[in-house]
Amino acid sequence: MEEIVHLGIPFLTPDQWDVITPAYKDFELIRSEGPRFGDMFKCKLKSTKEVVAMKILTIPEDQKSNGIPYSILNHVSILKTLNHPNILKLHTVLRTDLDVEDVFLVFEYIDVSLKKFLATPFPIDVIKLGKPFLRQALSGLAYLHVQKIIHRNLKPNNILLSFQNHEISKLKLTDFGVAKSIEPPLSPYSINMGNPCYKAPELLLGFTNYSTAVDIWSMGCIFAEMIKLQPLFIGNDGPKILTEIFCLLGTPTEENWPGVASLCSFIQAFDPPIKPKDLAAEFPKLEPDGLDLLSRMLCLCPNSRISAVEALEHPYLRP
Amino acid sequence: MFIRRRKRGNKMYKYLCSVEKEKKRRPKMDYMKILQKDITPHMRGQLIDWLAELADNYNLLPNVIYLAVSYIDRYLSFHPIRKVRLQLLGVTSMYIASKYEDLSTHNVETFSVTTCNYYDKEEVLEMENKILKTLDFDLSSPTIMTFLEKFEEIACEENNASSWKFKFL
Repeated sequence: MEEIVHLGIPFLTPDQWDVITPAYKDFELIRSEGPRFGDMFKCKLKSTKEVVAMKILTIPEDQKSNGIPYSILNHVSILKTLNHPNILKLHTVLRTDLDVEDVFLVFEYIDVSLKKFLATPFPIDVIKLGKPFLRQALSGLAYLHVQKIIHRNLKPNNILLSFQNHEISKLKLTDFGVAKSIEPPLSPYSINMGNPCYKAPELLLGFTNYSTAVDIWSMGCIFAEMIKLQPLFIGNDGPKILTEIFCLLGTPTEENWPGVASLCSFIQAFDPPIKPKDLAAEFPKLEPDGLDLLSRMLCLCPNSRISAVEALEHPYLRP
Repeated sequence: MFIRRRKRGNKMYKYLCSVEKEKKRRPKMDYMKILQKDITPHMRGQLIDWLAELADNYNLLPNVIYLAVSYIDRYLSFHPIRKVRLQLLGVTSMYIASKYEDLSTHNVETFSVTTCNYYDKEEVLEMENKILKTLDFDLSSPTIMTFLEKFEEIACEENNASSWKFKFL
């Protein structure tokens, strides 16, 4: 234990230490997302000196008696099926015969998250990066959606970038901790995951039969954030974000979102409905094609929202 | 719209086929002859019959049994097993598949009880660890059920029939 503290990595328990030190060294914490989603840190593979990112999934104390819980089975098996240049690659899953119940995931390592990049004081001309960014991010998303997987937790933290000559050379989507494969029978899905700032209106309104469109909304918010250099909707709870959404895009009506009133009665209280603002005035730097795509991604009604495959064919993203 | 849906369906179908063919998701063809000394194909058959009954009694989703059988065959392709442990492998595969597919609330005790407590909870959990290690967490795999659903979808589209008519075929 003393040795570990000495090396500045108090985030590993002695047991975890015993599992990973035979093959890995030089540990450095990248980010911590609390006990539920685990810590992510970078380290080097002893044999090849390759830098990798490692994530430890810990089984919650109250679930230990039932073996590996569904959340971890689901998380790891989704990761194992994915293979796309825009999705962070899982190298190995470490399990030992020792008495350690944690699951260790070893990923490829990519330098910065979009969140960190946007927080840098003078980033490279972001408007110019918007197009290649969106193209790569959407092609990763299209791949997921074709396989009927919803990510459900897209945010700047979960998009990793690496740069070469001031251009994005790699973009990877990561963190499939709350991802879900849509399989029949379609049961109601949970709506309590993800950051409210990037949550689609149907989730904030409490619809439980949502689909891949929720990811497109999040991606729209992230794209807008890149252009504005600040989050599009700011607030720490659902109702606050919902208000912000309605202020910018107007309140949904039966015309633009059929069925909304029957599912959510308070919408009718907005009479007359709030008018949407002009997006061109909100994003003066964005070209008209970009504005059109953004407005389609931030469409209130999930059924009319553009899909990832359609978005890739939009004039703005055509090479 | 119709054509587009067809195109996407096609892409999905091709993808499913390619996943199904992946080596890591397939059991070895002749593991019974080459690797297994203590068990016979007949015993495997009996085990699966028993699991099917179990799935029925506990109202598990239909896909659970297919996944469990795939886990069993893949495990048996790598590790020789003694006769007395075969049922443990079966019940544990079923436990993993039900957790994975069914989000079931059945806990490990339920499954250990089905063997008349012949294997205890600890043994099931230990086996779970071994299976997951052998499968390397590749738990999702297209099964007969996946393809049947796909065919049913196509059949419904072409004949404009409602899907329940095909469910019983």
